[in-house]
Amino acid sequence: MRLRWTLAVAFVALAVLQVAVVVPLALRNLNVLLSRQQDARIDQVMESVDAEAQRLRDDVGRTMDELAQSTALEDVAKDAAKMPAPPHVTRAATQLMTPRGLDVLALLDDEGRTLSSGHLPARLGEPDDPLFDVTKQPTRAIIALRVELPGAAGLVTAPAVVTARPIDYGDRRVWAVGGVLLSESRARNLQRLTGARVEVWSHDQLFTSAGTALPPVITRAYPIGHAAELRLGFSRADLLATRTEVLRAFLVLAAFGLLLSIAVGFVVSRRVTQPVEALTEAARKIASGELGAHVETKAGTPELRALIETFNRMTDDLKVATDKLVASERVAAWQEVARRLAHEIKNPLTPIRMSLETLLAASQRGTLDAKFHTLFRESAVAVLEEVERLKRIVDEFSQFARLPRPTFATFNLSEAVTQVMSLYADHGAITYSRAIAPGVEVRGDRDQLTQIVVNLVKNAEEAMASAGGCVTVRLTPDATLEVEDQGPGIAPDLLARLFEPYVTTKPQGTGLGLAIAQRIAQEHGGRLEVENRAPESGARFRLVLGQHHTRSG
Amino acid sequence: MKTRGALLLTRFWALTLLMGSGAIAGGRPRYGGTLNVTAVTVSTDVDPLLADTPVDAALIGLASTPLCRLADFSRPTPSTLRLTTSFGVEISKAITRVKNEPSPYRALVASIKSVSTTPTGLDLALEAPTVSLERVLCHPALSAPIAPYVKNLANAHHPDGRPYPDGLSVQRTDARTAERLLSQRRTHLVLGAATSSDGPQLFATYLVLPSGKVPGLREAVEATTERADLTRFFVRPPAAPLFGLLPPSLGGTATAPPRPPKPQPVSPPREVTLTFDASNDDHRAIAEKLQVKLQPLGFRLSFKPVSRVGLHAASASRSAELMLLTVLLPPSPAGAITLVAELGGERVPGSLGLATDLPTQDKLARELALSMNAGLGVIPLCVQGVGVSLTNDVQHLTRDAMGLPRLDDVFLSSE
Repeated sequence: MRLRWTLAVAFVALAVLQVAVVVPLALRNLNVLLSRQQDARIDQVMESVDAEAQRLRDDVGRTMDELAQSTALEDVAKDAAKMPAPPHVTRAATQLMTPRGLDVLALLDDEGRTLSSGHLPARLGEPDDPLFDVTKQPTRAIIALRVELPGAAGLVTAPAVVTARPIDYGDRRVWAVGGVLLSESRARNLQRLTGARVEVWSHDQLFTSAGTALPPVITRAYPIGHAAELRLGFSRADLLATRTEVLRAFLVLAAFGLLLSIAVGFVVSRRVTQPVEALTEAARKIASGELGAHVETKAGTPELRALIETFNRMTDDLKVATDKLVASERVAAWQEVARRLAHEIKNPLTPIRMSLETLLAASQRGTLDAKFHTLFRESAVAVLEEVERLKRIVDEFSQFARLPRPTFATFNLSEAVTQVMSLYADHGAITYSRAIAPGVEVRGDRDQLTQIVVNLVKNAEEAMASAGGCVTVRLTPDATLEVEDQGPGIAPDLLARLFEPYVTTKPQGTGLGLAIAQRIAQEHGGRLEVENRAPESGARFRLVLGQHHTRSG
Repeated sequence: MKTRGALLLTRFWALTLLMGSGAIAGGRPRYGGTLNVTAVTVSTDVDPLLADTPVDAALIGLASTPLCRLADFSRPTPSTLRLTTSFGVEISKAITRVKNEPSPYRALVASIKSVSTTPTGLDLALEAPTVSLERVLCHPALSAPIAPYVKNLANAHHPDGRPYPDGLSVQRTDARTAERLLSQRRTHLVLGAATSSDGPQLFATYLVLPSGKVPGLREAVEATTERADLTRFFVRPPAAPLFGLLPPSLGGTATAPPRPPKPQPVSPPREVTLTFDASNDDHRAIAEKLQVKLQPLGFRLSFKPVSRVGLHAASASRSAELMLLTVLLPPSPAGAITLVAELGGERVPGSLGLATDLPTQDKLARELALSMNAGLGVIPLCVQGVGVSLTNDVQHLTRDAMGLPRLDDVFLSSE
């Protein structure tokens, strides 16, 4: 992966990690905070419910006190014993109840018999034990209990808060028991006050309710005596909505941060990697021979800029050094060529000079007799041989110097190798072995590659000229050509230099054959390798062509 | 029903105008003016067949005339009642309507086999002599829409010098307003006032329970219902407890029978639907009292208030589980027991109709009422009459055999 991408991914991963760690933590803390706030609000509401309940009790107590002092009840007490009871007694509760905001009012005699009932007029004349029990409670006690009311489907009971007051007339006592129902309207008032759903439960039965609360709901109970319980349902929907809103904001911010991180990552990595890439490009140019390549970018950190300056200085130095080296190498090469040429030319010149001096001496001795003629002929032959040798040397030098550029075309290497090898037949102590994979096609210059084969086979023959042996030519399907001989092999100190020009182990060799073969291989994008065969004797030459030059059939 | 109400109203207006013009035409001394009547009722239209409450029945009496006052009766044969009348068509229509409508009052004309027209009126063919029929025909359910004051206008049998009213104004309101109007002398007469009554009380309220439908219910009601208290505190006066199937004014028992012991509460509790007249406040009060009484004994009473028409239909079909029903009994023990037996889903023995003289038939009817009391699916509760309050200047108010006030002879003193 490129450095730029690596840096960008690192930036993104860092941002994601940050979001993954920060968001849950923040949400948890937010949850705790919101829950605490809601709990505090609920506590506050429950306090107001308590105050409201107390206010209701106080109202009931005050109203009943006022009622007990009224002349109407005094009249009731006065006439309670009359038989039949006069209408102002039997209807008293109905007439007194509603104007005073009471929902429940019963007038009982001292035996618990109903003299008048406002909430259940049909109770007249009947005992009402639950209400009469209120009269036995401590004075002025406000009691919660269930009272019976008429209903379309039979008598129903409803929770109420009541209190009892005695009304005495002489030795006669009448009880007024009154209060208010925990009715739907009161639940609705409480719902308006608290904002919560209000349910009135009595003996595990839902009596009435007001309002709604979206789930999920937190329920708090407020007991009213033993007879009833207020259950207030507080919706957590708002809290959840807030949390969701915050979470959404978090996610938006996180996404924005992520995008920003990516962008910043790219910018920063670009700033960091641009000089590095420029350095890499320059190094590649240098590798490809453009020694004076410079890095021109001004971007990057001071350290990178120092590196670039150092690099530029280094390439400048390298160019200078390389130029010097090339110049010296050129001089050395010319010296070597001159030396080799001098050496090669000097060798035939000596026999030629000696032959010509012999002929000159013989001619100065006298007559051109038959002996002279023989000598002339022998000398002429020797001179011609040496001239021929000179010509050959010149040709080889010429060929090495003017090796033409290869003409690439796809051809069947198997056929070419087979064709070459068909020219060779066993002779003397030298035999030939062929292992040529069929149908190996390559892209290259057929003549030049054929020359490599010829050069290698000739080289193998010359290596076995004295002792004989087998020349093995092998072509593998991946277009690798191997030529093995069973000669003495190559001295280790020569192995590394074997393909240099003028390096040869043969007395008559120019040392250019393998150099030419190596050059052809290189121009085909391949290489020529040599190794000694072990443990057998002999050497193995291997031609490996570049990948784009091979195509197996 | 609305059309019928509008018709009645029109008749009142016509009556008022006719009375005025008659006085002028006759050259009589000046009449006493308009008689202002206030009725304590919420009913806006009154059908004779629905005359179950005292006030409604009294209002019908202002706009229509009972059949017994529209004809002269004779018996050509024991089983034929001959009506000599000029209102044959109206009487025939009234009888036919009662016979055909789903109403408890069908029992009143059950003995009439057919109605035939004669040159002088009608002949009613009877299944048996039914000697009480002449009195039964005084029932408001059998009245014809003929204003009773028509006769007054034509004549002149009123003694000269008395300030008879020459107009009638009727308004409906609640009890408190009526009381106030009377005390302020803005009305002469209040129908439905909570007063005692000197007339017969024939509006009988029964708890009808189809026998066997709700086991133990009858015993529970009998054991817990205190009719005296019920009458005193929960129904509008004038009222009296009804201890037997017939009211005291028809010779029924006037003393309370011994109350049976309170039964054990039924378990599991049973829900019973009580159907009653939604427009009758007394029904609701009685229903609530029964609810209080019966719930401890395991009978959970749920209410089904219905219209009076619906109540009559339920009575005719006997579809209700439990029903409060008030009927106006005819002024005849035989007719009354026939009607009550019909409420209980039974028919009186034929021997009752065979009696050839009234005293015998009345005696038989009272004996029958006593014998049927325990077995009939009808529990008597109370009986009511029409309470009337007057200002002092209203003179000569009388009541008919049903206990309904008659305004025919009323005159207004000038004090």
